[in-house]
Amino acid sequence: MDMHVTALSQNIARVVLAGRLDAAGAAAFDLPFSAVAGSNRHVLVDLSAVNFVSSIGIRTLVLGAKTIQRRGGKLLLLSPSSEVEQVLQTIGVTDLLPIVRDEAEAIAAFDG
Amino acid sequence: MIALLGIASILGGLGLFFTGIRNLSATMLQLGGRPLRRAVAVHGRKPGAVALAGTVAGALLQSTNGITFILVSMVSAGLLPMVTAMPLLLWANLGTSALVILASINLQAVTLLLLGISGIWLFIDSRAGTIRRQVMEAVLALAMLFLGLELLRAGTGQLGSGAVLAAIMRIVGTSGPIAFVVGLAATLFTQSSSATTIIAVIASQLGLLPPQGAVLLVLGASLGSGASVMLMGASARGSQRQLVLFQGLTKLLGVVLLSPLILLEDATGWPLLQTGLQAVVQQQGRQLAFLYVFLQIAALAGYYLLAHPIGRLLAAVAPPLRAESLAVPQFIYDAAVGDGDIALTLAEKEQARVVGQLAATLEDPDPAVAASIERLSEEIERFLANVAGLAGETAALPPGGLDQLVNLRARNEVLRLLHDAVFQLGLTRIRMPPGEAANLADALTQGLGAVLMCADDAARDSEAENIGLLKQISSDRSTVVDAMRRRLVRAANQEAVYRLTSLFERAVWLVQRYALLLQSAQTAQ
Repeated sequence: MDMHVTALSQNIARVVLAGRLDAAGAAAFDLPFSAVAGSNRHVLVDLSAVNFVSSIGIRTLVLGAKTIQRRGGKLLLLSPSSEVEQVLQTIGVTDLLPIVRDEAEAIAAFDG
Repeated sequence: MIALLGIASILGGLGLFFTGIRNLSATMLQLGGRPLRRAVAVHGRKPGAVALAGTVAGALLQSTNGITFILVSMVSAGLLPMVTAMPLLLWANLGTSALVILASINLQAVTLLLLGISGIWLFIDSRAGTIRRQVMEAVLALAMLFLGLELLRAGTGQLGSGAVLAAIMRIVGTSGPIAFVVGLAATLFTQSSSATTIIAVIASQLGLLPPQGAVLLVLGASLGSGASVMLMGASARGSQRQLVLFQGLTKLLGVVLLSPLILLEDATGWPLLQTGLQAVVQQQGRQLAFLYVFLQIAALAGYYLLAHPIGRLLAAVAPPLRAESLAVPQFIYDAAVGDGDIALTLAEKEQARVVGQLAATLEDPDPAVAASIERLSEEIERFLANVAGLAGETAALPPGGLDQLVNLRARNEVLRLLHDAVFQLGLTRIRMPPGEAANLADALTQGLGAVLMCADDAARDSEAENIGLLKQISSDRSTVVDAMRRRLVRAANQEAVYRLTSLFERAVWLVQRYALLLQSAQTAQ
């Protein structure tokens, strides 16, 4: 699981993930992602290169979203694959982890 | 002609003896297995009761392998701790020596009487399966065993005057190492040190086996018994492996403790164990029978001296299986029932263990683990029912404790149902052939897995935020599930799709119930 963090703006961090967000991937991504979630107002997680998301990966994302929400921020998911989106919709976490299709939509959602 | 009759008597005697000992064990295991389980489960924590139950079981069942099997099932079920199973097995070993003592006594008249009574009874009473008939079958097996010994005695006596047999016995009897190896090999073949010892007892009584060799043959038989159990249990795992290794180790311990006394006495002529035995019993055959008893006592003494290191060693070499560890309560214990405040806290912690296993059960639905979790849930329910039973009499519950108790029992029931749904869903998923329905199963598994992990977070730390999150992600899924069913209406394996989605919906609904119960408990606090 690869993870890169860039600043989309002063308040928004963009986290790009690639590979499988399974148990091993989540273990590698958990700590750095928690650090990003704890130090940025808004976070956009780019899932376009993630081909699988496991239960433990979803839990990490959900906990990150709760941390950010506590400080009045938002966590959005960018362009997940149809398989990943199906899993997220199945368990009904898209309220907690809203899905956007591009950066413009994300910025509008963060501002709103 | 006399030689031929002698050989036929020995073969016939061995046949009757082995058939008798096997039938006796099998019938007594059927008759005594359940009472032994019950007695051990109820009184298993009292050292005196353990000694009595073990000795009686060994004497009646005459099968340490059978007793080991019973103990393994009880340890696996969490009904008996390993620290109790170990001495119980050693006392059972001691109990098996009752047959060796009996075999050293001439019971010809009693044998024929038992054979007559049991045989006639079984001929008249044709109703199979009754306890009375099983008892008579056990008596018949015992009589066959003793009749076999009588034939063995007679056949060996007839051949005893023969030069060949006398020469063989002399070689075995006068060479310690050969006698030891013969005892070991014979026990590996018969899988019973008591059987080998009984044959040695008879040979000694007929004056065919010189004393020095006979003693070492019995030592070899004891070591062979340990080796036989270890060979049979080579593929065993967890508690079963621990008990198998324990049996082998303690047999070795008995031999190691007694051998120096015997070898020193032979080398120096100092009056030690053998002289002591000769002072107590005159006949050489009976001395061997008592030596067999001393071997079992030495193993017991060795165990009680080294119980802790032996327990630690075996736990390190053969750790309990996950399923076995899960079935054993870690927090609740009977003595805590009287203190309501502590009892409720302990039950809540024990329940959290069940919640912690749900995601793993979904991912890997192992029937043994599932059965263990079911047993743990039953144990929690039994504990809470006992707390409820005492609450009315002693008012042992703290303020608000009754509500908490009711809430915990409701949570326990929800968790049992949830665990069952999760297990069934996991099983359905792994049996699914590749295709659209299997993809759906994977998506449902990962999604439900995340929900169950959040349930675990809430069970371990019931902060309002964790409970709120759990409520949020376990909200009504009927719309999503209906959409899935519509999307896959043309997929193959429709029955599995319906089953999967129904189990998923049910599991999420139960998590929601659990979250609401957690919230209700938190609000009350």
